[in-house]
Amino acid sequence: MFLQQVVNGIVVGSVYALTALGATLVYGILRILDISNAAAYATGAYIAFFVYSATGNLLLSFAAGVVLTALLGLAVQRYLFAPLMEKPPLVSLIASIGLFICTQDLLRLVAGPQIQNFHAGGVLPNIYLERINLTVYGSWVIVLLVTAALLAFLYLLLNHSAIGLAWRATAQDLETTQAMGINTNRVIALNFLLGYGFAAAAGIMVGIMYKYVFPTMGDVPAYKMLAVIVLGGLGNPLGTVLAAMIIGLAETLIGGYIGFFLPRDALAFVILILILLWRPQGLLGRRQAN
Amino acid sequence: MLRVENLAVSYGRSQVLFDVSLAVEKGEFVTVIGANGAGKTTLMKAIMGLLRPFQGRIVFRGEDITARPPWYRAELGIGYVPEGRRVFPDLTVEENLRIGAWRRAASFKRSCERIFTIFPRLAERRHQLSKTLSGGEQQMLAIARALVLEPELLLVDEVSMGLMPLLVNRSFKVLRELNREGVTVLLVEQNARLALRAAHRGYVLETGRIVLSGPAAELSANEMVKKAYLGG
Repeated sequence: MFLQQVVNGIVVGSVYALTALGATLVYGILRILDISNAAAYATGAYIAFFVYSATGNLLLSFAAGVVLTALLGLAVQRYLFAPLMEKPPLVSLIASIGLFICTQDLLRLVAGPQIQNFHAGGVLPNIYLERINLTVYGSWVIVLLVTAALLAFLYLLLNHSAIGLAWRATAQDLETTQAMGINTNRVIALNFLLGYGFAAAAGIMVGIMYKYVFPTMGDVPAYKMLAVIVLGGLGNPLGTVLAAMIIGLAETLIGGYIGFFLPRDALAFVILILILLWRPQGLLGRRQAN
Repeated sequence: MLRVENLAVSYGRSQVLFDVSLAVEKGEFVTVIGANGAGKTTLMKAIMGLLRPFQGRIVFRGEDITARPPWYRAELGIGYVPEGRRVFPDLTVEENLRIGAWRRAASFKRSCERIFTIFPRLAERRHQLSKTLSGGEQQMLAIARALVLEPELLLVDEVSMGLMPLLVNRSFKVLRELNREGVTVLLVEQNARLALRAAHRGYVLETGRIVLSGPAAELSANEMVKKAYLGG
């Protein structure tokens, strides 16, 4: 039972991590909170749902959901955020909240307000491991493998590639990086491409796991995303993954064992408050020099 | 090589530069001296493309670059040593240089080795995070980072700031040597005495306007400059 909850928590944490990483990358460079990153979660799930309904090909629908949503991310950067860059960050924040709400309503208009069944499961069978009393769901395996692959990809990209070096320089000092000859617009575009793609992957996998999609499915992940990126120390990718796992595990373990007097989704924020009391800069955030 | 014509820059409603014109010829060492807040850093940022002027032109080697982004200017060969050094604290010395050489990546290995012969201290600290370097070493790194671009023109914003006198002298020596080897230098500097000693020509910037210009020796002998910038 304990093992079951732990694995479950890691699966939940993986989804949170993928949803939040884009917002973390964007914050790391632009110091703006991009709420609309969570809109990619539902958008990706819907694109995958439509492609799957039309073709019945799960791999194709996954790829289509991720790639098309990532391209939408590029468009969002180019046409929404780039023109707002010279305004105070609050303007970008409000614009991103507006985009998030618009996206939900757009999905509602296109696909209807009802829950749509997304029957794409059964790719991998569920296995019951009697010896350790653990049921391994096929969808979990997919979530864990995809998350591990995407995180490894991001890690290698940021730490062992030329564009990753440019990313780190840009996050430390945007202006000087420009003066050194780096087109920082491309670095920023990469953030949105990756961030929206990752969030789409999370949304698609959740759609497959629970076998349905609905227009407001991105609501709770959006709130959680905020808790996760603040908890991780704003702008720190590793901290984001760590925070996502902590919240995922806490939700399943506390929810499954002790029970909690508030809804399970409130737990993320209780944890957020408790940890921020202890470390105001977040888990891996740097303390602001005064 | 560089011509700045009638440049005017403002931050919001407060204007910082008024009708600034200056020129730097190939091989020259030119300095702009001025007090704190005279607009020296603003001038450098505008030349590098980090600030947009609302009036005037910037021409580099015959090309009007006023509307061009900073990375394009770096590609053309303008190296930049920012005020306060601004090395990337969480990158190693070598990674800092790699960023500086972004537009000359093909020749990075060669230029990097050349830099390390000029600054052997940096070679020793090659794999150290640059935030662990001393102030003087960081200043050397900031200059080295601009040099790996193999620039035609080196813009230097306050080489003396926050350094102890011994290191200030050494920094000026490095700039003079580089200039002797053919790098064109435009230095804005608060320390007028050292700047005028190092440069061929100078401009005096006062509250956003060029009020005086001429050969460095002439400026050093000028009564107004002596009084205001050389301590009587």
